[in-house]
Amino acid sequence: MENKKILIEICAGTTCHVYGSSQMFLLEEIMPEKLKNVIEIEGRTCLGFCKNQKEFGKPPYVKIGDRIISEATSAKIIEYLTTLHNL
Amino acid sequence: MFVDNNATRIKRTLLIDIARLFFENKLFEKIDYLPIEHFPKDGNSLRCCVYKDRAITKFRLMSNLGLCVEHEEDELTRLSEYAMQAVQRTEASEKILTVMQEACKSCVKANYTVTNACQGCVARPCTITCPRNAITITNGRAFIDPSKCISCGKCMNVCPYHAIIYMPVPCEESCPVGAIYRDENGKENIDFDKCIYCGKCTRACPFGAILEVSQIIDILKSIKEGRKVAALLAPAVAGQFPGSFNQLATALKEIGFTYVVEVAAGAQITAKKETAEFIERMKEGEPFMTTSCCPAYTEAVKKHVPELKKYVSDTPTPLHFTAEITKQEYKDVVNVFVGPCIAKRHEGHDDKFVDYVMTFEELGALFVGKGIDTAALPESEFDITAGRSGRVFPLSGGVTTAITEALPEGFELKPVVINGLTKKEMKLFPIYAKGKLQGNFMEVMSCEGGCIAGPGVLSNPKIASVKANELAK
Repeated sequence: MENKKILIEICAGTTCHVYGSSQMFLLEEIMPEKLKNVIEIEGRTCLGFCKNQKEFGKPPYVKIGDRIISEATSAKIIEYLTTLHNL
Repeated sequence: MFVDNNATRIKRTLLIDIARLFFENKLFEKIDYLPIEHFPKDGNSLRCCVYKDRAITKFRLMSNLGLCVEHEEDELTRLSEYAMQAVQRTEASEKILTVMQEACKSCVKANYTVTNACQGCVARPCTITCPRNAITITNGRAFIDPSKCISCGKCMNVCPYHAIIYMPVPCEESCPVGAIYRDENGKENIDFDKCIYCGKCTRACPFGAILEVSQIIDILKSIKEGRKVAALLAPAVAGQFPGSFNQLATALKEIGFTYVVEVAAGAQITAKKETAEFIERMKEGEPFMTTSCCPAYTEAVKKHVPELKKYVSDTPTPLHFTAEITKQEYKDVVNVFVGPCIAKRHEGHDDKFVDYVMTFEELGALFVGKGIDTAALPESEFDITAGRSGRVFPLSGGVTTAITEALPEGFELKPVVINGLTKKEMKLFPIYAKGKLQGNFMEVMSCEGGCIAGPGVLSNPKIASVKANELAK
């Protein structure tokens, strides 16, 4: 299998920021050791999901692959990685 | 005091709603629907039912409009009528905080409670230790009668199963000066003869029942009327918004501010004058001097430790100097302080050069309400800018740094830095006032970490402090 890291894109647009996205940039600090090596965290300029909250849910948003996590928290990201990726 | 929880998210959502409706010119037309939109009748409720949530949303919106909860005399008054009153007033409310008793959970009656870990043991040390006979065994388990309990905690210490726990009343616990009290109905109130406006309770209450009285409507109205409005930006702004410092200047102009000014400019004057004052006081043989820039601290001295007042620096705050310069520079300008602080509203009200005060949280709501993404804008210059000595002020130890750097040779600063005002510190101040301070300079910041951790911030202070240090290079 290809040794590609899972990209976690945290939206750092103003809307997400006002809803507390800055907290998630400290995600790595609380990440379990076994996950740290397989992920990559990137801040993104506004991903635009806030313009269509009916479809995407409420900010802040985090994008992992095709999955958009709304009302994201560090805990939700870790939960997603551990359950769906079986990491 | 950075908080990220559902209570703050709800608060911000409603601030954004108000800002958006104002910018879209739909405030009067749409505001009455907001409580229903957020809590539709087939949706989830946060409390007993959506109707209670709606009633509470109405009060939250009132405080965002700059009205106290107590302002409501007739419950049938609509939000649109309140919005009209808000837009028509010529002066912002003097009130800074308001308690929404409908949202107050009346937390716990006694601070100690028996959990289901209680084994109903034979020894029963809790019943024997309790000095008020408040503990009985009911259905095989210890029970504390809250009307008898004096919250001494002795039962918790003797329980062999650790089955008795301490349950705080978060607002009362957070208040450094004991200004929050419970009335005969079990609801919390603020005693404004004691309150220092530090804002800790607003963030501590898990039900979001203590509200700030906002001035955003007054600010937006001034802009809309075409008046010249200056945004006086506190140096704690570093790291509070996405994008660069100069992109933020552009964003503020997009909102409609005519001028963008760094409060660090006034902080430089404060640093210089405070240094001179320190030298003067030391020459006169005073035991120590303490800072004047934190408005919650100076209010605490005024209301609770008046004997300390003579040691507080007479030098005006960075905000005062900045506001004065701005008024001199631009004729008929409306000065709006933008910062992390709730106590600054009180200072702003008392300062003739300051017209309005808003927090970074509120500014963030204005950006979102107007659809501005700060990081996507071009950069522009500040109209009044500043240097390093002013930009270190918002960090705990910052004022000390600024003065140490400005002090000429031959004078030694022996600083005592109080990083965060607590009940414990409040007890120490009267001792310091007797001249028993281990140093000759005392810097006090009400918020732990300094202004960058104020109640009105948007960013985690860990990140913000890195940015504030970068900006101060």
